Amino acid sequence: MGIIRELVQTIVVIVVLAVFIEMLLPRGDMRRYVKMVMGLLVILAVLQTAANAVHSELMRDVPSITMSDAGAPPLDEIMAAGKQLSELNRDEAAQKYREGIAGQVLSLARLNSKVHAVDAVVSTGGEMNEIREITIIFSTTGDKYLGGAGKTERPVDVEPVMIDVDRNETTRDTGNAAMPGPEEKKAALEVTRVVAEFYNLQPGQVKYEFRESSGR
Amino acid sequence: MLLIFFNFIATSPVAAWATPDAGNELDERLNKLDMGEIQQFVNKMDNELKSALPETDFRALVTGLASGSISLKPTEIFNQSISYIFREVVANSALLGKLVVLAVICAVLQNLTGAFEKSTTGQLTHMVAYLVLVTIAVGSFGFAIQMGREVVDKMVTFMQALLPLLLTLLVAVGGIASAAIFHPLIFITITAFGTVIKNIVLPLIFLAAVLEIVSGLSKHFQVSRLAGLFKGAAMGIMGLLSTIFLGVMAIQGVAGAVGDSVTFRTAKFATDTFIPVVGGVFSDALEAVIRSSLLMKNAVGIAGVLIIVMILVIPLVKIITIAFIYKLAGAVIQPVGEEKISDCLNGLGNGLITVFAAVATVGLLFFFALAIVVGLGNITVMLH
Repeated sequence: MGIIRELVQTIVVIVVLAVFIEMLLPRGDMRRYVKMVMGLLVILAVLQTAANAVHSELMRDVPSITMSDAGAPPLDEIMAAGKQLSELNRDEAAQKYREGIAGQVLSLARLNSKVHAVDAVVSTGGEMNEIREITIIFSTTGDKYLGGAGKTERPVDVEPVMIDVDRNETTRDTGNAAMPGPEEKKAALEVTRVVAEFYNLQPGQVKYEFRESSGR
Repeated sequence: MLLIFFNFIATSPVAAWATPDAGNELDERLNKLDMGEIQQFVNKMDNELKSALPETDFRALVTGLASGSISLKPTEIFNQSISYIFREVVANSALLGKLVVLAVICAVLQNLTGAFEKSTTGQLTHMVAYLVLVTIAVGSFGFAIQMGREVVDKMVTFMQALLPLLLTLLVAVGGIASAAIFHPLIFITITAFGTVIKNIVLPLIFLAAVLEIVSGLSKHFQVSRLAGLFKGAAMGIMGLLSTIFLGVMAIQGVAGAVGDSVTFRTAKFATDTFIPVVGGVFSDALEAVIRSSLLMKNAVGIAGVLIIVMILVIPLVKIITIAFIYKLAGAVIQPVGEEKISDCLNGLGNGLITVFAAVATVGLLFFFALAIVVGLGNITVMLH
């Protein structure tokens, strides 16, 4: 741009000079010659600029235009921040997914009238959030629904009973756990079998607990 | 530009998506994003521009736009713009007065030329008056050019601050390939476009205007063709750059969106197929969460467009007002019989309209760039 700016400056000077000379000169043929000389000067200025432009390294200016993106943060930073947000999205989606499955499991369990399912806890993992384990919580005292589907925390006043379907034995979490009757145990096993079949899981992945509610 | 902006705001899906909980949820998500650079830019903005913004805190602006608590009223914006134009015309009336008075003096001197013993005396006085008028005119023209350069500079700086945030959100909604394709090219294109407009196109328009003025000095020494060449070159460069800019953006956008959707669909197919019965539940839940990220990205995009418009509107109004003043002065002077000055002012007015077009084109292309990045996220999610 500097070359063009110089050219324009030269032309302006030539034209202003020409106008003044035109005014100072007497009327006659002289004016025509002055006009021609000034015209030649303008042509000379233009040609000189063109020659300078040809000999200058125009490509030198290209990097200053294209490489001036120093303000842009590196792609790695953007990707890392985006993936962090993506992970948060995934965690939130997984939480909603677990809650949804827990609701479905609870509904399935409540189809069996011999036991009272009060909650279901679903744990997932892996790249595709596969179901790792489902624990169905039944009430021994005939209590109906105590908490929301997918609720992970245990009520303070209940005693959980862990039953591993693989070994077909009941394990107690604490000393004073609730003792379900044989009919209830059988019904609970039936529910776990249905749930395992429904979700195409191994029988060991579906467990159940009996909890006794003291206050209700 | 304004019409496109109003249309964009009117058809914006953000308000339609808004739910009562959207504000709180968005607040939580936005807190995880780094908006320091954009906020710094907003803080540096002129008070005049800040007062025009519905919210000066960028985070609050995004939340407000997403939750629908900040509603942009196109009619109000239009009315304010019109009243601002009139205010500017009144503010520039002094310039108009100077130009008209000097032109009348020139016309009087022209008529008195015959009264002097030597006609050159009259010519000389006329020329001096003409040069004074031209100096005043070139002063305000140079001011308008400088304003245009500053606006382009500001817009480039703002885009460089906003784009990393938008690309981060694009990655969050699954547009990893799009972001990777966009990252180097979008920054280079925007910076190169801004630099060329600022350092080549605007100076060329200015030099063309100077040559046009010089042509008006004497009818025997005309350089108006050279002025036309410069102006044509400026317009040609602008047109070429706009085409390249839009072409690059569009092609990148489509390629990235398709690539990302293929990746996502493969993952979704795997989830749906290998996890029986409930496989779809997880991908559906993931899509629901991604859509809320999309809402946030759209809100950031709209807030960005709003700030770009705010940066652009006031200087553009000032430039177009000065152009109007030149044109009006030229129109008023013509009946007095001063053809040269009238043509000169008219030429300067045309030059300023070209400056207006150049700056508005930069704004429009940056608006398109934002729209493409925002729309790309929408397409990516839509193709899921």
